[in-house]
Amino acid sequence: MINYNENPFKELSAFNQPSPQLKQRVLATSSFALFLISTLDLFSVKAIDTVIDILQINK
Amino acid sequence: MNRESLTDQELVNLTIKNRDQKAFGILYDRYHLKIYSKCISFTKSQEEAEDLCHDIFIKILLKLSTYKSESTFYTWIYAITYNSCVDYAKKKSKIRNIDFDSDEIDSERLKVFHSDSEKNLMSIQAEELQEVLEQLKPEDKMILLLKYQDDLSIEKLQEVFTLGKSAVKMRLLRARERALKIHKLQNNKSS
Repeated sequence: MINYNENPFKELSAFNQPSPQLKQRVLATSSFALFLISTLDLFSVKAIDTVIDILQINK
Repeated sequence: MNRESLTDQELVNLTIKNRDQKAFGILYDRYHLKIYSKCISFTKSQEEAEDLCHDIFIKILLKLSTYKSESTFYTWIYAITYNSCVDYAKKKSKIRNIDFDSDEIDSERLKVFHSDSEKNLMSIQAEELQEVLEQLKPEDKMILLLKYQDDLSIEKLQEVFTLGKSAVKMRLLRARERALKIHKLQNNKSS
């Protein structure tokens, strides 16, 4: 059995915390994404991976 | 409505049917630390990790209607996280993978028993483990993180990687062995 008190993987995750601003960024983009979803009816698009690729093409 | 008490599936349904951004925000609260800890392992800075984590959440949102309740929600998002991190690593090509000859791994395996490799991996210091992870292949890194950071069972790993039980066990064993090999090389260099 692993002693999880001495698990270096857990220690690593404890160091790593995102900034509080990340949630604001995600929610701001998700608001726009939900607008696109509603306008273009993206939830019914079967080839959503292709749409995601197109959206990311200029990154 | 108290969304906090809703199940993942109920929050997914609210997001899809009502375009409920608050429901999606609760899914973010539940899973962002786990996703972020994977992202930081694949990037060199907090800024890059946050960019990657942001993109993964938007991808999750866009793909939400493809989620099928046969799998648990978190294994589904782990699968998206895994694919996104591997794609990111390939694009950036920053990871210096150390490839080992498969025969060498097989002969190594005879020397190291399953339980020993797990015990040895747990004995690595966190700072050294970070260096080991930086040199591992993305696939190896992710399976080790999911198993030992997030405690995913073999069955849940099967869902994430869409592999059979023995294939998951073999991938896990190989990943541990490669990690130990890299650690050994690092120790040899520094001594």
